[in-house]
Amino acid sequence: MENEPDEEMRCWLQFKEGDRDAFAAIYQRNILSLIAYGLRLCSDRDLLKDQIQELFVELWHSRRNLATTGSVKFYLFKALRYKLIRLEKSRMQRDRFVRIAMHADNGFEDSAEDRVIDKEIHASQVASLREAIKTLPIRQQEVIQLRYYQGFTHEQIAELMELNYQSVSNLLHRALSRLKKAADH
Amino acid sequence: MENIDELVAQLLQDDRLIAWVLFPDEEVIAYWEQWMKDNPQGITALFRARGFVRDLAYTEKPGNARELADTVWSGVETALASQEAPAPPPETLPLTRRSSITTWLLAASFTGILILGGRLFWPKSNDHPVQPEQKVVNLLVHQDLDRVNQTDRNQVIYLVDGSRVTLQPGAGIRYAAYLQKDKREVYLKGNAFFEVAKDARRPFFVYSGDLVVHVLGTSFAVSTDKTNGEIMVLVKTGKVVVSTRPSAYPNPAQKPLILIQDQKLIYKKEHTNWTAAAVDSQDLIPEKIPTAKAVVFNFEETPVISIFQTLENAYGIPIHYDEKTFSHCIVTTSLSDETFEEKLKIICTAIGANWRFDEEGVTIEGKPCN
Repeated sequence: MENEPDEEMRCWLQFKEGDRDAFAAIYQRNILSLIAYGLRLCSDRDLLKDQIQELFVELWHSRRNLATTGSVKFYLFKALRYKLIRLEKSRMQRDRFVRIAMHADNGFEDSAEDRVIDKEIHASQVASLREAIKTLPIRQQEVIQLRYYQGFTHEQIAELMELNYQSVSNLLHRALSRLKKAADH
Repeated sequence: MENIDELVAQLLQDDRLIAWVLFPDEEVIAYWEQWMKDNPQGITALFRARGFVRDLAYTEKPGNARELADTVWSGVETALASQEAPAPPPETLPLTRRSSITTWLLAASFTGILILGGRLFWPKSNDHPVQPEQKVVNLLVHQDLDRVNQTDRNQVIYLVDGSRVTLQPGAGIRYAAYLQKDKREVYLKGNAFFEVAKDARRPFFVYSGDLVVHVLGTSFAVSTDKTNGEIMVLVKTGKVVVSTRPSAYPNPAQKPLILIQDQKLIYKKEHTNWTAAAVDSQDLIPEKIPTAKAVVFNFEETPVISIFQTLENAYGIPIHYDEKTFSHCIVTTSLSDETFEEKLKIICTAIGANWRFDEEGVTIEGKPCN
């Protein structure tokens, strides 16, 4: 998926040695994807902000003990997901997560930027697609993003969401057929 | 209509389709081009699937993420700074003085490493008559070469395949020293002008910021505007293909762009469509197209040790040899566009020596000259 695993690895190793610039580079390269993913799991932007901030502070402090990882992005995704799920359990936020599934808006506020992009490219198609995604169960939404935005493979998604391959396949299939119906209108 | 839907559904399951939209590289682009040739009746379905993935990717792009990212980062820095502040010392030493000493020590050791790195490749050369100046700092670590122009003028450096790169002050490139893989890859920071040697078997890639520039044999410049982060790629001769790197913030609309002679691209992160523009005289100013005098490889009755040093500076690869053995060897030769290996061969043949590559560069062995 990445063109330069060597550069990423080098950056990761430098970060582990205590190089703050490498740490900043890792952050900048992954933060936007991480936020996109985090918002799918947790609609509360403030809470997400705190959790991601905590994640990177913890990452810095434990840098010496971290494994030499295959994919930095994947590692960060797993770490964030674990953090959010643990938080959910400990704070008994289960209600919040369940409520998200029923809400139309999942923290993806249509910014001014979104509206301009929509105008430029097949406005109505994208808008209806966006609306359609919001009506999907939360896990289908997550799997759509992981596959079609973050570009993870079935195997990686299975590992990340702690499902087996077949479940991932089913989730994707169900999500896609619902979305295709929306897109065709 | 049903057949198309089925095919679209099938295509959506294909990892290569997603790679094609999100992370296009040479391989995956070639794959789908071939697929389209083999399946002309499936082209409609393919582009429908592609459009669908593209639209999906767009819907996932959250608004105002950049703001959130910046807020989080300043929070991280604040948290780390407050946690790393030295505790008040029990002694009477004022806090500020202590931390400034630490900073000085840290700075000194960092610079020391750089200089030391430079010196490691510089054999004891106090008693040699002519010293070619080391103008570009070269650092060889595990066969990865890091070369930075720390002077205030443009400097030309050579790659083992015969390519030439002119680095502006402050610019640097990193690449596998021997460029032996099936592709030649160079990571660029700053501004540089590339003259790439033709090698049909090994395409040449330059990575800079968000962009990938792919060439076979050509001359072109890459420069980044420090004020706004815009990257310009300008082609003087030949042809290049520009695309975005996977690490760039996902911008699914970018199709790889071909630039031919006298064309340029100005890349801005926010652009969703990019096109080639014609080069005008404004673009050819020296600030944008670094030029410098090439290294001279003409040697007239020159001590071979001096030749080794010239080669080392030009190619950035350390050359190890026993000074006593070669101190009396004199060579007259004229070299130009040969590869590094060819140059080594010519010189070693002249002095009856052998050379080999190893972890630390090149080692020359032979008998003393008369």
